[in-house]
Amino acid sequence: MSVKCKIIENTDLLIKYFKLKRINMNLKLELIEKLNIINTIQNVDDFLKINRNLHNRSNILEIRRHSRRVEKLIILEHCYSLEHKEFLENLHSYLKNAESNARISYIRISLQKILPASEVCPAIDGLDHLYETRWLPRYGKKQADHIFIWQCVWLVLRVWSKPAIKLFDRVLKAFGSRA
Amino acid sequence: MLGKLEELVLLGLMRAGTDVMASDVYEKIHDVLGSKNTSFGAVFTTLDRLVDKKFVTRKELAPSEATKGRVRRIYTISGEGRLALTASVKVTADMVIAAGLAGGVA
Repeated sequence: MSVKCKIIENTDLLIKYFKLKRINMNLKLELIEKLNIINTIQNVDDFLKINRNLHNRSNILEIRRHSRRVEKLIILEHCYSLEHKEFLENLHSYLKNAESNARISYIRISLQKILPASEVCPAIDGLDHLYETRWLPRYGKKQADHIFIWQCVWLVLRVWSKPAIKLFDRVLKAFGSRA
Repeated sequence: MLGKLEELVLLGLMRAGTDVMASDVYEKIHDVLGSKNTSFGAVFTTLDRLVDKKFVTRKELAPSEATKGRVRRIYTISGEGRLALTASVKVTADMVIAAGLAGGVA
């Protein structure tokens, strides 16, 4: 499997890159820091300017999807003011949040497809209201996500249980009358 | 005759007030029941069932920025709903007294 190599110039472009990637449940990304090197490709003037040299670091990050290396990112950061460690921590928390939000969005989209059209908007509105005002402040993001998903499952089962029982009843009656 | 969940939802709706969302009713029920799980789906579908029985009135608010562009449903208990709830609670209370559980409950 060939590994793509991509050069990204700064933090903003890196965030934009991940937004374009549309991280979702099917595309679980893992970011692994490979190397932290000082750029050696510099001209003599740059080399002599020590301050500038310190900021001319490039980070090589690997993206793994389901533990398989799929892409290598070379991030050239010429002007970021954050420390290297802080920058990476921000990036990791961004990815974690994006993945978690994507999971909830994925559930919302699934609900829109599963529930009857008339019930979708009020149901999602109610669940979102509970998520934001009750579950998130009380239990934190991880558990709130978990509760949200389970409440969605129960909602779908509740909404479809009545039509399902009716259908089952009709089928029983149809076969019963033939017998 | 009301079912137990219908009774609970009507009581929750009375506690929550007028023009409230299904999530507000769910919160009121959950606050009282505590750890016993009542799913939002159960409250949501029961409210719709009560609307069909005309015990609850339903209004739909037009999409706005506050609702993130979604239609919002708000519910209020109707006069018939109050009567049905009173009758249902009375029957339960009478049965409790008849079964000799009144002292235990009190």
